[in-house]
This record gives sequence, C-alpha cells and structure tokens, in this order.
Amino acid sequence: MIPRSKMANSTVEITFYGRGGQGAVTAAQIIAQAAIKRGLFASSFPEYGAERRGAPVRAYVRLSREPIVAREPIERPNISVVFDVRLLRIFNIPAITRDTIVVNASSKDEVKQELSSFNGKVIYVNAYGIAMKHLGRPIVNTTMLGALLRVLDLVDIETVKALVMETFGSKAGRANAEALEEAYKTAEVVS
Amino acid sequence: MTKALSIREEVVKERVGLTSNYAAAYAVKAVDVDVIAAYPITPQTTIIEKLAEFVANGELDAEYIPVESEHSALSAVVGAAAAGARVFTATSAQGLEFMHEVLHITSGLRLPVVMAVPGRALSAPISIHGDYQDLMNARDTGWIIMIASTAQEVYDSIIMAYRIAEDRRVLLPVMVSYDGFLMSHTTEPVELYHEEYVRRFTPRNLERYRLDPRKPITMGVIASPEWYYEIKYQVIHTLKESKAVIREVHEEFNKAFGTNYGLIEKFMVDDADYVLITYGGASSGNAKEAARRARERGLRAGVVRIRLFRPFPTEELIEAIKDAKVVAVIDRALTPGNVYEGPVASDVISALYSRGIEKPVVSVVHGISQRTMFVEDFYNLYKMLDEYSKTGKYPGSTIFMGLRT
Repeated sequence: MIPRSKMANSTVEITFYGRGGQGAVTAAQIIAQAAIKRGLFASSFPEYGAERRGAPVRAYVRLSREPIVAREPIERPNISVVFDVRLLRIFNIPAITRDTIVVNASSKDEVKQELSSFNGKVIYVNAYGIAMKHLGRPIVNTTMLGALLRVLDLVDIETVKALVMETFGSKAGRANAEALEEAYKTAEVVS
Repeated sequence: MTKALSIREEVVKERVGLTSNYAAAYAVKAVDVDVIAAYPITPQTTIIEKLAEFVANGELDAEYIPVESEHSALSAVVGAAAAGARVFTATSAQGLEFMHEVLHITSGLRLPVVMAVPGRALSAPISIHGDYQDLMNARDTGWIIMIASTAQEVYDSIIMAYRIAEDRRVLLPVMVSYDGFLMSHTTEPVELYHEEYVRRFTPRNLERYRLDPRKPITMGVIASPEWYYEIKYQVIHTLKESKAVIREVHEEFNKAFGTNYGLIEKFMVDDADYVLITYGGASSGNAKEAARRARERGLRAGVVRIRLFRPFPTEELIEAIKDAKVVAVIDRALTPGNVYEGPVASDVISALYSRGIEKPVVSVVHGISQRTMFVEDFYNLYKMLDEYSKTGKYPGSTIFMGLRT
C-alpha cells in the first residue's frame, strides 16, 4: 500500500461497524454533522450492500480541517467503533485499525481476550446494558457515540447531544442523549 | 479572493451537513418551483421525500404530484411546464429508462424542465448501486447535462440549471447528475444561501410560449417530413449554442455567490504530462488525491473534470489538455461493441480529432455498479501512463480496471 499524501495525513478516519438495524449509519452521520457544525470538513457514507436487519454493516467518517477530496472506503481507520464484540473477527478489526478501538462488550475480560494482539488504545463500554436501561432496546448507536467522544476531541459532547435530540425527536431524543451521556462517563480505557 | 469571501459572508445563510440528495431538494426549494411530480426509485428517493416534507410543512408552496410511474412523472412536469410552471422531477436507473421517450419529447417541445439524476447501474442483473449507465443512455435526447462532484456543487448546479433552462436563447431541459450513493447518500458540508439571493438570480421567464386558454396555441403536433428535420435541427443548433449562455450563467453565478465554477474543472493540469479526465464525485475526488501522491513522487499528474457534459466542452477541454503527453478518460459507463467501451473516451477522441490534434488517449472503465475505486487505482494509472509514454506503446482497447479475472 502506498503512503497517504500529506493532505490526507491530517484527516481522522473513523469506521463504524454494526449490524443492520443498530444505527451505525445514523451514528456516522451525526458525527459528521457535529464536525461540520463546528466549522470542520467531514464526509460520511455507508457501505451499501445487503440492507438486511442483522447483516454486518460499515459506515465511514472522515474529519479534517481541510476540504476532503478522496471518496474511497476507509481501509485503515484511525478509530474503529465496534457495536458488538463479535464483529472484531468478522472485519479483522485489530489488524486494520491504526490507533484506537472503541468496543461494546459485556465484560472487560472479554475485550482483553479478544484484543490481546492489538497494540493501540482500547475503550470498552457495556453499551447493551446502557441502551437497555435508557431505551429498553439493544440499539447502541448513540451509546457508542458517547464512548467514541472519550477519544475524539474534534467534536464536543454538547453539539453531538443536540444533534441526537434533533435526529430522534424530543422523547426518544432525550433518552438517547442520556444513554450517550452515561456511556461517555462510564466508558473505560482498557489499554 | 477577499471579495469572494465577503460575498460568501453575505449570501450564505448556514453551513450544514447534507447528502447530495438533500442538497438537491434544498436548491429546488430555494428556486421556488411550482410543480413537482415524481416516482420513488433508489438512490433518488430521498430527494423527493425531502421535497414532500417541504411541501407538507408549508416551506415550499408547490403542487406535489405522486404519480404511478416515471413515465408519468416526466409527462406530468412536461404538461405543467407547457402551462408555464417552473417544474422539477428526479429519477435514477430504470426510472430514467422508463422516461426515455418523454426525454426526447421534452427537448423537442423546448420545455425548461429540470431533473436530478443520481446515476445508477441498469438491470439485468438487478443492481441498486451507482454508476453512470443510465445517464449515458440518455445523452442523445437533446437535454443539457451537467455532472456535479460535491453536494455543494449539486446545490449550486440546480440553481444554475433553472436560469439556463429558462433563458429565452435556450429553452431546453437540464439534467443535473451525480454519483448514486457515493454522493447521493454521503453527508458533507453544504453552504445554503438566503433564498432571496437565489430567487433574485433565477427570475421566472414569463415570456416563453405556454398553454393559456386566453391565447390558445398547440404544442406537440405532428410534423411532416418537410418540417421535422428543420425543427429537430433547431434543437441541435440551440443545444450547441447554449454553451455560450451556460458559460455566461456560470460567470454571473460566480460573481453573485463568490464561487469559481467553469464548464470543466482543472486540477494541477498547467504543467501536467499525464492527465486523467473524469466526471462525477468518486472518480474525480480519488483521481485528485492520486495526482497529489503522484506529484509527491515526481510524476507531473493532473485531473480535468468534465462538469458540463452536453453540450460537450470541446474548446475548454482541448485548451486544458493540449500540452499533456497522454490522457486517460475514466468512464463509469459502457458503450458495448463500440471501438472503445468507454463512452466519454470516444467524445474526447472526437474532440481532439475535430481540431486536428494528435494525442494518445487511453480509455479506462471503472466503478461499474459501484465496483470500489481506490485512490491507489488512479495512482497506478498515472504510473501506467508514464510507462506508455516512455515506451511509446499504448493499449489499443479499453482497460477494464477493478474487474476480477
């Protein structure tokens, strides 16, 4: 693989991995919109394939202080946001992620076991637990956004929360914003 | 530059994250259309969903006609345009195919219809994914065709399209096309304008012929062989001559909105030996990124993007590539059985031949049904052009990039 150009090196590349119906595409769009609101450049696009509930899906986000030119899928993300620990193997995430993996799992031990070979930073969050508590459903996209914000300084939590409210409407928006807030507070740095 | 910036400060209302489809809908709202008729089809559907929302919540005062097919969608806006209304429709893929006979009727009747076309592959086999086969099949229908490469450009082009279509020297329909999915569903920054500036830029042409019971005329009657040829020639002639008006509208838009659009876009071409000729967002964006990388490694690489596709920007293109050693045309569509299978490659070759210029042209097809185009593919293409140029040996047939063998 050829190195990225100097311009591309100033870009933060994030890939969201989820299953159809978990809201990975919406999460990617919210992060892009939050960055755009703060005056940055961003692009987010989903990998369109089988649009079936439960099928593995990817959504990409590029964030930059410069206009974004490339329109190719992200092959080596700086940050991988993984909606389910079981997706780590399906997408070979530890091998392709450059810097940070944010992962939803039921325990820290499970994360340590799955990511023993990964040298970068790992953020663990029990997103299913938080989502069930606030939303009553295992839809983890807003929860995962909260965990992501622990390692992403280009956007701020207030802007993202406002966009979540706007996206999901007043009642569902509030519950999602609460889930996001709790994930932001409880996400743990594993390594 | 300072002047352009201060214009932007004045005209821009807000900077938001939008898909190209939503950007199209916002432009249609800004020009204050009277009639929208549409039928849903992926990847176009979110345009007309957004417009339905604007009409339903009162932000846009327009007649919204949910029809039973694309053939009816275009027919309905043809009728409305004939009655003097400002109209819009959108479609993709099979929908554009289904409209095909009405595409010819629209230009033949000289109706200023504006349509958005996020490009998509055609059946069979069924594909919802993006390429430009639908658009290329519609290129000989007498429409003006622009191909945008960013969501901002989609927004700006649709505004320009109304001004061009309704100009009394033109009176032809305009398609604004862009990448299905890779743009239609990509969220990116768009600066929306205060609508009063857009409306000032796009005054309605109330002088054109229209169906009015107070002053009856007939449109679309049969023409005998003594006159058909002459009437058709007027369309052909006007389409060719419309380029001057399109150029003028671009200049005025740039002045009014502080932008920098041309009929083509040049990226690092001034001293380029190797030029990739592209259209649409993914091809052009990835080619530009590849050109930067190639330059960092000592290759004089550049990109020319075709923004106005019909009428073809012959002079502009030739001026841009005249000093290049070799050019390659990236097509995301096919002309099966032709000398080269890339449709725009043939256009570039005839443009050069028409001016007596001999220059090697390489035809490349990529991105069919959204086969992933990587920056690296375009970087490799620059290396291939370097190799061809050094050895003097050029491929005599189309290169199918990304094809599994």
